Amino acid sequence: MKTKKIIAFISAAVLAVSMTACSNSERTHDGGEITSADLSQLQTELVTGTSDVSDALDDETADVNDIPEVKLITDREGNIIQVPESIETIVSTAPSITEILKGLGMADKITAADLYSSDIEGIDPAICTIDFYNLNIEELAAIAPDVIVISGMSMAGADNPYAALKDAGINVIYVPTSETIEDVKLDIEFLAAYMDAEEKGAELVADIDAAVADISAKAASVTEKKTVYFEIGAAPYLYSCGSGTFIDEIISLVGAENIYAAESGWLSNSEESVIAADPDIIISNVAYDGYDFNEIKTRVGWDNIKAVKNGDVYYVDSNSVSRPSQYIVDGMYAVAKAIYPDIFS
Amino acid sequence: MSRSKGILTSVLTAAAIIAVLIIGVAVGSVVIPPLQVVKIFGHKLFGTSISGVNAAYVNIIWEIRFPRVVLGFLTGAALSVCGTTVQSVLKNPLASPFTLGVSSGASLGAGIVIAGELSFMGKFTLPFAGLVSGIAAMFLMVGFASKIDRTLQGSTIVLTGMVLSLFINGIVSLMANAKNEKYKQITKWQTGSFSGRKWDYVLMLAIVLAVCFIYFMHRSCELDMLTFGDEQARGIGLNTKREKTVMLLVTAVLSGTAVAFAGVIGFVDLISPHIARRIFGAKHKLLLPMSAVLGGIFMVLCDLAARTLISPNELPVGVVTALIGAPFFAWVFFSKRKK
Repeated sequence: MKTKKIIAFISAAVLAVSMTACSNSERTHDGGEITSADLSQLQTELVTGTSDVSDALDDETADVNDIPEVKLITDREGNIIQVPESIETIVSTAPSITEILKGLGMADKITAADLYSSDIEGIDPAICTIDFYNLNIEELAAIAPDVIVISGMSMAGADNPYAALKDAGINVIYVPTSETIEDVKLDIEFLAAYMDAEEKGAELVADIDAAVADISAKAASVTEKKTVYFEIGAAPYLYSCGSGTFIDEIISLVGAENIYAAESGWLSNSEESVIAADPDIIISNVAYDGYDFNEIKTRVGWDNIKAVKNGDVYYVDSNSVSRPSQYIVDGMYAVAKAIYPDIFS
Repeated sequence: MSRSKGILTSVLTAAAIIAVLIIGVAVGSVVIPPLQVVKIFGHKLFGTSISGVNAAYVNIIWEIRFPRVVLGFLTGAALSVCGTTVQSVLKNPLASPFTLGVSSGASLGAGIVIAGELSFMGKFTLPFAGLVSGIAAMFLMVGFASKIDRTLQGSTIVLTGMVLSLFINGIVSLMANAKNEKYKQITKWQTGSFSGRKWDYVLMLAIVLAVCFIYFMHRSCELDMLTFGDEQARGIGLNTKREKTVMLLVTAVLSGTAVAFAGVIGFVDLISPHIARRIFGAKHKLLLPMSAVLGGIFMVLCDLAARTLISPNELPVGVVTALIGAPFFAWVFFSKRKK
């Protein structure tokens, strides 16, 4: 009886020691410790997409045969995260992410997506069931995908509700709600690196760059800058935006000027400030059921606005100017054509 | 009150109303020179020349600000008149259309219309639904409270109102959550705004206010009697039950209409009757018009703050009245307790 106990104790102790040794060697990658300088070098290499971790380690340590292939990348918040070996199933929680994943050729790996992704071509509406305003963590845990991509939108006002998913062994990655074209490119590059689709990612980014270059070149021929009022919320609760938003960036990119460029972020603007600004163009992206943007032309007191007098009131698709994905290119051209039809036809 | 003092009061009141309307129209997120404002009014009222005036300013002053300021004044006046009458009828200093559940009831109706995307009266669908459900909520609330406490005094009515309001707000939040894309619209309505309201709204509220106000003035002696208490009032020969019911019905219609047009705006209906009573005494013949004027002025100033503090952004006016009104409410409640 006693000997049995002793044997059990010893074997347990041996097991414990060997496990520590194991995890130790994993952490230090065979004794060669990764210093913070190494990491920052890695980071810069990785952001430029030239290298992955095993390459970098190859240079420094000869004996790497027993190390599992680990690919580390920097996420959009600057954390270094490990890329899973293979990704077969993905859950997307925002339409912009679904669009980027689709662009990366990952559409068939999306097993569940948010409700708003259902209008994206090539995505089965039946899988778009996640209500990210009222996120059901249990539902996500039950789907148990390899990766869940969280958008900044889903994080609104809450501290991390996804910790439980990480604990359940699901990879949770976070993409902020980008407000600039540059940031969208970074989002795409990050997702491409994580999903092991760097080539496709580079193509998408190149397309955006080409569109920006094309539009800037054409915008250079604008002689008289037109002023634009962009309406996101219809009367009586008007909503528009100032600088630091996509819409403002697009408007200046095409060579026009947002009447609220001096403000920052989203604003519930007053009616009189629109009338006083007297914009050349009014663009609406309001698209709820039963709403017709032509209503703007008949608003009481708006009849003297240049845009109304000249009939320059337009609608652009709301999704392409509000979703931070590669489809902002469509939004850029739609806005450009509305403002300068002669230049961008 | 002596005759000369009465004339003086009337003149001062009229001057105050005109002054606040002028300030309300002249000041806004867009700065318009006062001379141009005068020219625009001169042109619209007397047909004088408006040469040299920016056409945009004409629209801003006449089509945007003026109706908005007048609607603000009428809404403040209507809610204050209602506050005065319910406080007298229920002999409760904490009673008001807001605490009686009219506002939350109206937001339920508005929420159903917004979330359900209903439309049966064009742009007046929303106000109409607000009006009907506001009146219904108030009667439900008074009926329920009188089951618990027949005299409808003390904290019963406030507590019942709070319970009902919380319950209804729960339903509205539920709808707003179920219809995410309408969330903003519903919450906007719940914080009240005069933004984008034009002359048609002004005209309708003016008619309802005029009719109800004349009725209350006509019954001002009965209102005085009710404040003495049921027994005295019955002693003088008043059919108190019928009187109370009719008064509450008229109050519900008036406050429901006001809330329906502007959304939920709290505290004005509670504050101005108290201030008016303190300055002008408790006789309804003077109290009613004076609390109306005070409420109107207060509302115009609150709306002025709402549209200029963070311009060209606009704050919901209900937020401004709540910021000023909530501390006042606490003060009324606690100073009554100490006595």
